Amino acid sequence: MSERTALQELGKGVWAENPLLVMVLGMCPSLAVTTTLANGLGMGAAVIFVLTCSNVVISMLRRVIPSAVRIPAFIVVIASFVTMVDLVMEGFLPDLHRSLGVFIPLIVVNCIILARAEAFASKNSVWKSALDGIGMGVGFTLAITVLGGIRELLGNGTLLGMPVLGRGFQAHAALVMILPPGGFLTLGLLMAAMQARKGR
Amino acid sequence: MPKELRYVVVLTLIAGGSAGLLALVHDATREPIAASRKARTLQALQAVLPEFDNVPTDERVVVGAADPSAPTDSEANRLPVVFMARKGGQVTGGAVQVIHPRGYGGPVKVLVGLEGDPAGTVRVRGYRFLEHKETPGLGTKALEPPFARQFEGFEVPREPLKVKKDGGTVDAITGATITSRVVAESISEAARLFREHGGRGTPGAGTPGTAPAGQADPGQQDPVPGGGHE
Amino acid sequence: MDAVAYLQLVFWAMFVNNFVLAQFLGICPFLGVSRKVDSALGMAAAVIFVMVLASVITFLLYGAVLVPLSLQYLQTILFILVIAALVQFVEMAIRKFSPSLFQALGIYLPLITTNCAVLGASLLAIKKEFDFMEALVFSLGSALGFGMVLVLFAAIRERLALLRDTPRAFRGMPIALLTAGILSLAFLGFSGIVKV
Repeated sequence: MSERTALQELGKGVWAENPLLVMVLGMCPSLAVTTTLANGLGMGAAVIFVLTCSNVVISMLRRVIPSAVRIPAFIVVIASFVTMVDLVMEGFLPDLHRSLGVFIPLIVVNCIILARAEAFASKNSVWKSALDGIGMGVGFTLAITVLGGIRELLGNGTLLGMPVLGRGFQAHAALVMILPPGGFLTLGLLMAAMQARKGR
Repeated sequence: MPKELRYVVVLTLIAGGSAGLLALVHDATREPIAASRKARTLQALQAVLPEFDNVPTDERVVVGAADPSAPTDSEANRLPVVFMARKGGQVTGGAVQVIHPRGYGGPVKVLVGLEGDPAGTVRVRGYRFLEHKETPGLGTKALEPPFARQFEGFEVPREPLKVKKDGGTVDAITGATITSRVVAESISEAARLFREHGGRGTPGAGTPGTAPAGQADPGQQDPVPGGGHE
Repeated sequence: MDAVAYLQLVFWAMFVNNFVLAQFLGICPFLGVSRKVDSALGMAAAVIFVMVLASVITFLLYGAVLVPLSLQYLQTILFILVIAALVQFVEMAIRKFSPSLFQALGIYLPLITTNCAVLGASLLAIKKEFDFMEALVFSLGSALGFGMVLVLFAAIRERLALLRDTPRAFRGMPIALLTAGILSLAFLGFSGIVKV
């Protein structure tokens, strides 16, 4: 891997190596919580926090952790930050906490985080790992925010809870978009759009 | 240091460090979490109860709790609960948490606000779904005006309420008969529990066996967000 | 709870609230290991086995260790460690006692640690305040539902792979997701069917 500048390290996760749309990681929360824009943002923020913190800590400990036990060690670090998010969110953002539900503790098994720990943070400096974590987190957040926005708009006629498409649309909104099939369909079409762009 | 020992030491240190850190975070968030849980219940109660100056969460009857004087959190979560509202010591009404086992997407936890005297006329003041998995846009219409209006100030009869399809009087929502039935039956059940347990000065007089869905309520929590209409 | 109620719980977990199609748990293996029916069968068997075992163990640990010590907030860490250890242990045990089974399931086992369906089943059993039997039946139903949909989906994808006229942009993941969407739409028809 050639040396990347700090900006490239930060930027790669947003587009070229977007964890959701390009690397197809972290599908479960992306589909499950994106019934609204706000949920997408909330989940994204939680993932940015966990990903950045665990990347930093794992990078700091990379010379201490023997490689034979690295996976359990990574998991403990990740699970600690996830639990922190869980507790803090329940105390201060109870509504968001309720609507994200079990997908907060499930951030532990979000493949993005373990994948970055294994593939990046355990081999790179603290500073680079932090940038990588933020970049990947932001990329993930952007992708699920778009997903949540599309689903909320078409399925409910609102954005962030505010009516956008008018009463007439709202009365006959495409409910299927906020039901589970809408998640699969929207993400499928979004990925097809990415592939179509690349194919040219 | 032998290899295996090093593994154990490193893992123990990491696990110990994270447990210590979490204990700190847990301590710091314990109060806000308790406060936000309580505020949530109170907020829901305020929305459906008539005027009150007592603390309804302190005057509750968890119907069917093993120890009626000290119901556990888990019991208060999965059993019917009657909250009493008083003003100047007089009962003004109550709110009843009912778990209806047969919603469209699983059990529905409904909070029904009632006005009146347990011994006399009981009127509906409002209702909320506390937890549900009804279809957004169809089942959730049961919380909105055209359907909900027929229950505003509605005097609850002693005989069970039914939707028209079941030979009753309640207009069901087109495409959401099941959810309409949930609301009608929950209101009946709430009024029944209020009449039975709302007797003055008998907080804690739970009768076992009146829980409609005390045993099995999978899906009570809402694992797939999207229901958000509360 | 009587036998009928348990059956209903199994049906509910398999069809009405299917882990993959209704709850979005275990999507990664669902999309990743569904190109061939053979490998889907192997993965399904491995998941069913680990998921039921993990749910039982985490349920017992939660009641016997975390609750008495009021350390419920450590559940996420404890559960994921139990699952990781369990997967390792099952891998060693199968390798030792049944090399042929190991050949069939071996490569899927490590993937299970990060399968959110497994951790999800353990966490949901606690969240829904199930008793022991309910937790067991719930995890069994959920696991069967996961396995069933995985194999079903693999069968569809095997045929899909034969198509030559899939538009370029839709090849691979997008068409798989759209297929899953239609499957999920079909499963919506199960809601309201069981009076749980």
